[in-house]
Amino acid sequence: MNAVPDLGVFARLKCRLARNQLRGLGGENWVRPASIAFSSLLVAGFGFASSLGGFAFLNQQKLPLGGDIVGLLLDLFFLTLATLLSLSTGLILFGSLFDSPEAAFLLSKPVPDDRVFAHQFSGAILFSSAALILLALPLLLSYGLSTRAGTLYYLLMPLYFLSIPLLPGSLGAILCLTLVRWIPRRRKEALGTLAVLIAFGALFWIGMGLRNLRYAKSGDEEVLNEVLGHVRFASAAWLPTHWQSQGLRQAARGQMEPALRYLALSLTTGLMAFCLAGLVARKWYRIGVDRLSQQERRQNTSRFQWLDSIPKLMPWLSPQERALLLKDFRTFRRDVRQWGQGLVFLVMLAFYFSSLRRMFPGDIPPAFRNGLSLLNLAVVGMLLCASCGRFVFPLVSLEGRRVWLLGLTPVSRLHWVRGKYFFSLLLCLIFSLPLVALSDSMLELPAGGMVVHQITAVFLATGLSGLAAGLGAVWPSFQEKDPSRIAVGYGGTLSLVISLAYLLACLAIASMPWHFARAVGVDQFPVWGWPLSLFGLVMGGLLASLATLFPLHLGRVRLDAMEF
Amino acid sequence: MTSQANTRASIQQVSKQYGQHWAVRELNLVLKPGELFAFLGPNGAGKTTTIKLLCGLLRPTVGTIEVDGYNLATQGLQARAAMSYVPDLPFCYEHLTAREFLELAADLHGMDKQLAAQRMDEVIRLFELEKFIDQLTERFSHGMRQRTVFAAAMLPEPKLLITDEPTVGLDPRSVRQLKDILRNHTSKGNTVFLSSHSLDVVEQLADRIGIILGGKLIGCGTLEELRSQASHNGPLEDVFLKLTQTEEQRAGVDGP
Repeated sequence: MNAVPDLGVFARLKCRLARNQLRGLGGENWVRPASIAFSSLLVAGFGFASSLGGFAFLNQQKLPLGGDIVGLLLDLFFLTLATLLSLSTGLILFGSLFDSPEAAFLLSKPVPDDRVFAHQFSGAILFSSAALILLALPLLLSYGLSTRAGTLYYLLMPLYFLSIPLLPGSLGAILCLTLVRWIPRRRKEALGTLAVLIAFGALFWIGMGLRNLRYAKSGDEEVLNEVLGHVRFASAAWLPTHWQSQGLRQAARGQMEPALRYLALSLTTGLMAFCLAGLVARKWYRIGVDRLSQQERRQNTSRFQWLDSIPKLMPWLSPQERALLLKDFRTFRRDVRQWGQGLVFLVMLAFYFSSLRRMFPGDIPPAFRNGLSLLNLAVVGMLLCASCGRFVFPLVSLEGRRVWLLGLTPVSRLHWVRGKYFFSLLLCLIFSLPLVALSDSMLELPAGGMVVHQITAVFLATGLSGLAAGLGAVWPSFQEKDPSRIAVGYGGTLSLVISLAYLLACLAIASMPWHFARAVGVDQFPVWGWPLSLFGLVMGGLLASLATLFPLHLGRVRLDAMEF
Repeated sequence: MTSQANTRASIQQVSKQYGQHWAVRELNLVLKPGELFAFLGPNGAGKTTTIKLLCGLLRPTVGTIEVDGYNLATQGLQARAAMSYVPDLPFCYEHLTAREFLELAADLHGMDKQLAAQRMDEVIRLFELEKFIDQLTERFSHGMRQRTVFAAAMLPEPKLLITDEPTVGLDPRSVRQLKDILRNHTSKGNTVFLSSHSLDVVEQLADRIGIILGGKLIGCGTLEELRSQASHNGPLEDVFLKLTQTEEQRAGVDGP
């Protein structure tokens, strides 16, 4: 018997897993991949159309697509993509290397640690490369079409796609292994803090750019130069992302030699980084697993116990509903990984809103104020939509195999769903109302507009919470333990699409009338504006009630019919 | 290699610290070829930590562990080649069939193709997997999963088989089968290290029994030796309770 398995063992494993999953797509199982494929096509199609439009606009502005400005934009795009890939691969690897039964199984086998790492790394890269396909492919295809690139460009593109995630993924892996190996405790929090710091760094950088922009008053050219100067570092000759962007541009021009040279440079650097990550894994992976197990068990959760009194803000709930609400609330607040992601987006949004005023050195043009405030409300709605889909929709499913525990209690099934609904509503209101108020006050929106926005935010919070809680009960997935997988499953995807449709409808019905009246009467708000706005709010209220009550009813009916 | 003819695995002065808490303290244990060693202890006593240390999933804060003469810290690959581990929550790839999972286990142990095929036929018969061997494991019950994982663990005929709560979720017939299989495995000169709360199974099977409490080995020997230590000539359940209660009382008197 050989001590070490042959090199193909993990490749065979991956092929078998993929083959069996594909075979399982028969019957009703096709719905989930089909919905994912449809949504992906939608996103990619939107990306393709907008980048095609963008390149056409640049052409109209007589900006050469092969020139420096477009080159700089591509450099910036690849650098941003690499940063995202690096962070997402690091985070995914943390789960698959240190927190998965598969890793424990493989580590107990006579397999070298670096091979286990390579197996998990390839999985993480494949997963995080979805963003690459969805974002980069449409942009590069539209670039190729806009520049009338030849066959060389399209032939080399897949090879460039191989090279793009390798280096950032390896850097993310090294970062993850190093953090787990060297930071003494609370590694999850450390990784989260690092992600937040990077996000803050990016925000600071954007903020500086906006500040500089504010002082550039003397015309479009100066503004453009100011902006380009701020991102010029993305074109540094030593950056591998610059090699990728340069190589693809050369390929689009039909220059084979430089295109191949940049490709080779990019691939070899990526492979070298992967080998380095393998070496780090060989040295530190098992030690990291050991050190992670030494993390002290948290016993004292009393520091945040005062937060448990928040559900008491809803005195109209029955004691059973309040007990369920408290359970969900405690579970949620103790899972840092869950709310940490939402918090990052929330802080970024708050930073963006609070920096808004800096964009305008003088008075804010009325059209900007009107449009931007509505756009910001939509952005808050998107955040609520994503948060409800990610955190609230999986709540019923997460009762999992313990669902009989609730099933045997003398609590009506309507109370289950309502408990989840109020949990979501409470959080949505706490976060959305101040955000919308911040955006509106920064944009100096009139009081009437602020009231309309606050009421719309309440409608959004209630409707999106109702949809997520109700549809979560209609399409539960009790076998799945991972909330992120529940959220991206069939029910989660469909619920997200419905929620997005509701978001658009709610904005159009409840807020648009006021904005329309404001746009027509720039100097003086028209007399008919208020009745129209009021009518919009009433209709918005009706829509919100429907979006709340109907899914909750459906969820209760589904749970009533359920056998445990 | 520091092989000793009468030692399959040795745990020497091993301690494991989690933060301020010592999960295992100054543990010394020698597992012999051909013996079935049962490891008992109340919840949180340090059983699972000891098992993970013995598998190489964790590293001792202090001390050395050797399996088949190989030091786990420095020759982990060779040491792990001599052992198989069946955890309390058995892991299977949900999108593999039971047969494919067995093939994977054979591949991971670097088994020769012919030998692997021959051994697969044997373990499939032994664990009665024929009815579901070509089904995906995603729909398996806990018992079916446990039998599949056991079959995969037994495939390379490990010199040291480590198993945590092996009988949980198995029906009486499967428990009986498993007991026969474990006894048969030790009769070939292999060693089984078994952790369990099923004291009747332990009483029937074990050559020697170790009892751990608060990370310390408070008793180790044959059932007769433990009875003598507890000054109680009853079943293992009574002996176990007496030894652990006495030790807890002593710790209470001595202080933490």
